[in-house]
Amino acid sequence: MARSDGADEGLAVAHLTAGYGGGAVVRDVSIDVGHGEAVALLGRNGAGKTTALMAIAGALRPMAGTVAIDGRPVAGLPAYRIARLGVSLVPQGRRIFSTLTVRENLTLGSRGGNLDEVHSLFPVLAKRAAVSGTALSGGEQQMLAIGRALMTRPRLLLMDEPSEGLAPQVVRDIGALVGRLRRELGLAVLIAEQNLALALAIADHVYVIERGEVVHQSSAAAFRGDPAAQKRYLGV
Amino acid sequence: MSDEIEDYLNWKLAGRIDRRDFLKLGVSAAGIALVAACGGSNTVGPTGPTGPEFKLGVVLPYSGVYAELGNSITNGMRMYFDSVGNQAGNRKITVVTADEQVALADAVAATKKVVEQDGVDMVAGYVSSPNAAGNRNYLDGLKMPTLIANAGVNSLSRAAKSPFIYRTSFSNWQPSHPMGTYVAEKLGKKKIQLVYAKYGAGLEAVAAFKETFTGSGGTIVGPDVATPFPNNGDQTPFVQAIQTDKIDGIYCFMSGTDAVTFLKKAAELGTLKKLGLVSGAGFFVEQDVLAAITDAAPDGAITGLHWALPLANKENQDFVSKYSKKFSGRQADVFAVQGFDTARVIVEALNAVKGNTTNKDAFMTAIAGVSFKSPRGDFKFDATTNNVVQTIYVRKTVKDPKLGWTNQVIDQYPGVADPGK
Amino acid sequence: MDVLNLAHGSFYMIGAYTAYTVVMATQNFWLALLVAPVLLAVIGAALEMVFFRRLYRHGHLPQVLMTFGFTLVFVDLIRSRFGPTTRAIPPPPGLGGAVHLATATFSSYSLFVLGIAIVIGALLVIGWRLTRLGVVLRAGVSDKEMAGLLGIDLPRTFTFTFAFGAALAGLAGVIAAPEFAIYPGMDANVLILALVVVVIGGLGSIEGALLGAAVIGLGYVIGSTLFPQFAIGLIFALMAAVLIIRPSGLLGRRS
Repeated sequence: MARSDGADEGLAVAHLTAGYGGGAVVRDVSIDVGHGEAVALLGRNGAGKTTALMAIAGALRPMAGTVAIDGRPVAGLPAYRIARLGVSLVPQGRRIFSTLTVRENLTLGSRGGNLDEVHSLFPVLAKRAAVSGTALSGGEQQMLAIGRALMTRPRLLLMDEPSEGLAPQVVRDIGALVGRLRRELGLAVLIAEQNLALALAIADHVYVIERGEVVHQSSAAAFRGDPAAQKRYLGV
Repeated sequence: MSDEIEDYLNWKLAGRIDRRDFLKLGVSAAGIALVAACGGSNTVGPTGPTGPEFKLGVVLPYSGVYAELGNSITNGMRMYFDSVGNQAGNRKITVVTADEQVALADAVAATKKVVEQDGVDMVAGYVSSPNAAGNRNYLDGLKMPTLIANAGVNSLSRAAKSPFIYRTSFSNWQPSHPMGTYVAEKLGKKKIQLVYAKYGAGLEAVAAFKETFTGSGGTIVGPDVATPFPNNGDQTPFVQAIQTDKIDGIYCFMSGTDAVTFLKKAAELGTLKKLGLVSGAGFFVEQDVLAAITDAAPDGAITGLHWALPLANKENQDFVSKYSKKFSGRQADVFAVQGFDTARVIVEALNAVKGNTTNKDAFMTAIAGVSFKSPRGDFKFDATTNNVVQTIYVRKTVKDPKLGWTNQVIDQYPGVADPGK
Repeated sequence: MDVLNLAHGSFYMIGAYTAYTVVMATQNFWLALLVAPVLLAVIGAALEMVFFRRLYRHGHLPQVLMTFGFTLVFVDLIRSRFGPTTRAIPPPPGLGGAVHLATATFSSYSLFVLGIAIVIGALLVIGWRLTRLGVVLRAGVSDKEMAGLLGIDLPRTFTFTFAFGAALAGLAGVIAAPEFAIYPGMDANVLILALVVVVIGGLGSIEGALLGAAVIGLGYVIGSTLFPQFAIGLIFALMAAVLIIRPSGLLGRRS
């Protein structure tokens, strides 16, 4: 099942089943993300993308299956311990702390992250360091969410619908930014998206999830060249 | 040892046996079991009463702010019943307790429990006036013989009196009424400011004081200092509302925790020292309050009450020492006296009717006719008000070398009866 | 933490009884000021780790039920150990008198309480605003799950915070002991006022709690002087008014 050769490398999710209140939302999902690789998880609204990411990050206890980071099993660990293994989430809806300033949002999870680096990536966050995190615009909040994740020095960045509610130009900026982070930091990325253009701009490999199950996987290049599959799975 | 167990079985106090007593009981029971197991001697007691059991429902607070009063009254009753072998008129007296708590709804439930579930022959208790008043119609309607063992609301001796409800404690009017005369005439203090917890008992007490005080030429200097009841906040503004430079003294009605916090604050602020006279109803400086505040006590305070710890009569000296022996060193208090007397009224009335309580009117007549020498002095009922007629003692707060802080009797008004018609 | 702890009043009561016990045994009030917070921190940490942490995920109702259950347990434990009698301890030596400022007279101990309250209040605001722990707690109040996803060990932080809160309540109990009376039931009185303070000030805001306390403190004293029978009613009327105008409290977050 494992796609990458070295199963001990990066993130390996196998036969993951997870959900809420005893009901499974995703079933038997297997996903691999190698070191420095970018993987897109595609699917319609409600397909189970967020549930999969939350289970990987530890916010949700998997009902079955395994999650391993560099060969180390982490399924069932509390979220903070998984985060400390180098996994950081940019969550759906951004979830900026309204009770913290922009700077405090950034420093909260800091584990060796460099505030100056984040400020140079996003100058607006330096300019508005002292205001409440939720006083920023939607695009700025998305930058704050990404900056906040980067401050934890992750090796794997989980991104949940970063394009949601943003202007097309901002979405393109985010795509460019993720490319840059991969090049400069060697960051691996797992991005859940409905926005095909953004996903394909970022990813090396794609998985399509439908009603909680992986129904298709291929290289990003192959999926880009297969309009029939795009239409079948995503209706685009 | 078996007497002790007998006591407990008779008393059915499961709901309120404290832990130490419970352990003692357990130890005694184990001892008995051992004796039985070893084929111990057959002990046949004296022939007990042969008439039907007489069930007394005791409704008193065993939890909440008045729990201490409930315990003292219960102890007093228990002490008297034990002294007569828990029987009277050839009937074995069984006590069923129910927790009055604080709120009326709970007190009503407790009353209904003993009456309807336990089927008692008589009810006694009620610490709080609203609870006594709130159960009045129910008990009156059932023609249930009832003794009020504490609640002082005046109306129970007046508009709301019932031929089936007698009061063994006091009416709020009683301890304060003679004090107006005493303060104005005997002490010659003519300018007094009133200080009281603003609820029924406080209002009725200061009104009774005011009546005789102004009648004897005294002047009430306003405005009154009225505190919330209970006052869980700071007492400072109330202490400071006492106009020390315009008055000869204060007359005060407060009790328990309120009295403790008020007196402490008045001592700290130096107000007590500036007052020519601290007077009040005796609850203000009763033993519970004095034990808590110790040296913040108002030295020389003059108060009126139907009892005092050092009262010299033989019955009281006896009561105080036996009480302390029976209840592991606890000091007797006025509430225990009320419980003791309540039990005595029941026993004497039962003896008078030879245990026949089916004729309720006859039983109530027997109750009305009970009179005896109580630790508080002469005890009898007033046929007009169904309330106790008793001596009101004028007491002075002093530090006694033997008793510690207490109230020495300096004068008395015998035969004080509520003026209800 | 977004935890509703009704046993907080019990911690205050236990602090006051600790003061009573220590003062009776040693005559040393200042020792009580050290002993009670340590004792309460241990009790608080133990309760949090064994009981309360299981309830965080289940919302406020189970928290209310369990912590209310503990108030009953604690008040009965206190009653069985100390009896229902009202107790009191004197102010520490040197603070038992009165101080005259201009035309007003205050008890020295009241001024001491005021001073301590100001110092503790200031330290809390500084800690809440400026320390790392303050940042973590504010994040936890606003979104526990997200804080965990950023690598914050909230369980440990919550245990520490709960113990710290219990210690503060114990300290308050010691400080209140010479000022008020000590009796089973003192917990409920202070708890009700504390709840009103927090609701008026706004949940999850220290500044709100300080503002609420000032409003309620003044309101209660003024109200009880002018209308002694309605002092408590006045407090609740004030709370109702605030809830109508600003449902999330004077300084509360709007959700």
